[in-house]
Amino acid sequence: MKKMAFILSVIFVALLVWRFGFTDYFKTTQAPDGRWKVYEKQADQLSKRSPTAEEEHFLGSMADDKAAQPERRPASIPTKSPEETFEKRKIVGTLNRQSLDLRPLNEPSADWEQSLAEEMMKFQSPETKLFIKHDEQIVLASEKLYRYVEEVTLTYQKEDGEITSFKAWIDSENGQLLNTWSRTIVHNFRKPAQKYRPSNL
Amino acid sequence: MKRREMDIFSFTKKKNSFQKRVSLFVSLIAILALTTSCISDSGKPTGRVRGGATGVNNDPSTVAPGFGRILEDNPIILSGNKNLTPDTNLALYLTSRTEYITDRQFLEGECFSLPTICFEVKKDEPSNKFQSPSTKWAYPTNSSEFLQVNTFGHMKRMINRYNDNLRSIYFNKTFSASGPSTINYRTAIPGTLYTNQAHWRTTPLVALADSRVKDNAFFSPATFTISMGEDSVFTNLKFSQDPTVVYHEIAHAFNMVKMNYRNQAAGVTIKTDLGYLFYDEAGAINEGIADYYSYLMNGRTHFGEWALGRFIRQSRPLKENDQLHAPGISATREGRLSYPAFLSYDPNRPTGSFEDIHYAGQIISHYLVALTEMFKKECSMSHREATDSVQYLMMETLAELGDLTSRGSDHNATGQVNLNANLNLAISSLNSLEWIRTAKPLSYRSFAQTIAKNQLKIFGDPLIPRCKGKVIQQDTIERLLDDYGLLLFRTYNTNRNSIAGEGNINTSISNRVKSELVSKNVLKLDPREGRAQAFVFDDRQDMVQALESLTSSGQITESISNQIESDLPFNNGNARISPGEFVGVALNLYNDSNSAIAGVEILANDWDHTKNGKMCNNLGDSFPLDSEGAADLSAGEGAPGACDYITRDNGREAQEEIAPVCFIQDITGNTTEWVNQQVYRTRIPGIEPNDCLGGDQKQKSCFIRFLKGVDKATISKLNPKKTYAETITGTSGTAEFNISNILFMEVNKKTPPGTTFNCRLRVRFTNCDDCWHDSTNNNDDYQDYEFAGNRPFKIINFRFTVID
Repeated sequence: MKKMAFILSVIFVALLVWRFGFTDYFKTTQAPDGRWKVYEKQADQLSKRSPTAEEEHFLGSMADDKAAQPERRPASIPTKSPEETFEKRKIVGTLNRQSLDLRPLNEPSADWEQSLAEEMMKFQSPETKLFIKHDEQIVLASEKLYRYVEEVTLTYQKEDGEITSFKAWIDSENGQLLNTWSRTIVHNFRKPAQKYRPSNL
Repeated sequence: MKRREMDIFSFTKKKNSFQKRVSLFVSLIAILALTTSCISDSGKPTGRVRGGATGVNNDPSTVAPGFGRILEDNPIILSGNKNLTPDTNLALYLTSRTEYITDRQFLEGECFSLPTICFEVKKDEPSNKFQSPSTKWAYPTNSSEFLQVNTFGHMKRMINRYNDNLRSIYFNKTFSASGPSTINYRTAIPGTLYTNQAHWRTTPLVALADSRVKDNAFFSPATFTISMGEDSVFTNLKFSQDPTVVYHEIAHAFNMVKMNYRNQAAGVTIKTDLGYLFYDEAGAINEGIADYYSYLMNGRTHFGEWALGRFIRQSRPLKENDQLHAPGISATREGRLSYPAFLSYDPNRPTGSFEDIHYAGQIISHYLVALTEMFKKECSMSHREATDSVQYLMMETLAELGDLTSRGSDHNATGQVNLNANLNLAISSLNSLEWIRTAKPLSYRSFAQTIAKNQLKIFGDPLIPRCKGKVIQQDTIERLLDDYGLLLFRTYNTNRNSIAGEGNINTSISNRVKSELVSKNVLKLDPREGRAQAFVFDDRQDMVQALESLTSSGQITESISNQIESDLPFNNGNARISPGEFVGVALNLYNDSNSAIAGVEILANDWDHTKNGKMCNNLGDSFPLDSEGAADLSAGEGAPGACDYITRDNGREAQEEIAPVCFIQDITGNTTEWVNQQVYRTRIPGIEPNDCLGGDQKQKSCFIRFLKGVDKATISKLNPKKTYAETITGTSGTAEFNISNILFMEVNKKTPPGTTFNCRLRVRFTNCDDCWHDSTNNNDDYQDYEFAGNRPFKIINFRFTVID
């Protein structure tokens, strides 16, 4: 009986360590998987799921495509040097690793993507879908200060089928938008541009 | 004798009669041929019918492996019938000639020096990439497979052409194969262009040839994808049936790649875009270049006859002698499609006035066509050679203007373009991005100046004459730009951010006749009696729609405050600014001159106008008074931190700061003081740092905050003695604004009603004589850091009181 109780206690403690120790460790340093996630509004809640086969084909699996291609280049063109990393994150900027004052401006959180999705869907209609692809983990560094940042690709699909995408840097702690670039250029041929009339006219 | 004469006469008479009949017959044939070669209105195809009554049998059995058939041009051109029906049999416009497509089983293409697929075509439906095991690419013309093959074929032509040209430039014109560069100009093309795959992207350009999205085509830089949809009314009309549309969309991809040659080569993660707002001049330039590529590929001076022209009436000419153009427009010095007069001109609706990047882009497309013709004439170049030369110029021009490394060339030190003095590339590239996006974006002026500079140094250099042994003269370059109203600069700015008088000599221009430069003082708030100083947009539905659009397009580049709720419950549409609202503001600007001004920009971003948190009042607007809390100018001037010293690193140096535009009036008894929002917060009980719009980290914009990305507004043009509403009437004739005309701001819920704000906005415009160059310094362009300060701008103080 005592032996059984001891074994159960060990198992219980081990589970606790797993749940609040290793699991959290892996969550906060989860590497980008190159897969899209889909966020939709359902009854005022934001739901997350993997794309359907149809959506997957629509978005394309660029990670898979890259892996499928053999590496080929002319012999005369030298290969690029490997990028510097810090905590398995690509360094953007200059990081003085020898500095004793090396300190981060934020701490990565497992919830950054959920926070981002909530913010980016806040003003969207219920029929709009948001696709998020986690592209890269980055450390934005300036000598002894650094910030954990996630690089993502965001794609919106509106009810009328219109697609817009852009890339963004996101704060790894609170999921806030830091910068955007590479925005879609859309040509709508029959649809007139939205116009605004001032309230004081 | 007489008889013989008569016989002779008879023979001559007969001979003459026969000749007459032959001449008449030949003339009839000629007339018949001429009339049948014109586009007819009859509804029946009168162009060459290539494959008989039913067209070419485009079956896999009719082609060899690796081959297929594509439409050589759009159906209107091939048929000669401008009234073609949407369900026309496209097989009638194929020829028996086949085109090499690919030996692969999928529509995939390779490019020089790329280890992966360079481009590919998909249908864009829930299906895998279309496979042809036999590699025979002939399909019925009404099939999705044909659309994909057609798209691929034209894509391959265009991308191969681009890569051939780039390779020739890189290996033969800019870099010596035998070692260090022996060129005599500072090319913007990076030396590691191929090593670091900066000539393309690391993922293939994907074309979605049969997207079912209605009335829509797009280019997505983020996913490196182009998409061609279909007409919503005539669904048989697919945009990929028109090769000119395919060329246009691919050209957007080219522009993105060119803008980022240097960024990709240097490993800079973020990338520059050519155009950031619904309407801005960079976006118009992007569209103009994209239209031009249609001419580059097919030599025709019209774009989109089938996809855009047939039912939507939005096809566009590329040269002044096009039939679609309004009377008075001609390919003469006086008749060119010039800036800024034709910025709002739609040839399909010539009596209207529209703010749209596609219409504005026509000035650029027409200029580039004229430039091509100049190369043909001056350098005796073929169409291919001349268009390659123009493409060469665009590669150099866009690579320099889009450079986030701030060098502009491998041969330059940092800090020559787009700011920057910071040695940390991560920080400096963010500063450069801020300059390209907001502080000093691409405009008609900077594009014209840089392409002119490149023409002079590449084709105007007598040491290496690239104009087939000849040299393009400076006068020729300038006259053509002036014809288009684009000679908007006084020097070529060859010394970039170097101080004038040091380093490179700066070349002045001398041929301005048509291009107009106007003083910035003409731009003011509407001074006429009874006119609003600004327009306020606070209707709830409108602002929700605006936020939806601004968010999903990625235009807003920072997070919206948690205080702004999703349904904007505080927005009341009363045209006043109230706590808790998300509000749009458009200044009612007036052009008080007799010349049109264009490319007007209103900036609400943080800038260098304070010292120790107080506003400097020596910046031209004499605001505020010394007694109202202005910064102390009595000591420390001329050094970092002073009012007369502009930050070189966007406020990152020690003692320097940039500050939000809005300050608050604090009245205590008889004393009025203008204070920054952080100071004001400390004077209001019950408002903690965390109650600020951006949280405790952003207290200087605690109560009013212009969001990044929407902290700049543009107006395409202001006619003489007119406001925007009076210039751009649109189809309804009433004042309606585009989203890019509006600045957007958040208002803190806890802002005390009755609080008065003064927002120190900066305005300028493209054809401004004192916004871009310094008349006190030999007309040298202002150095980039100056755009963090006041000198290139006119300051307009926008004052308002928040009401409950």
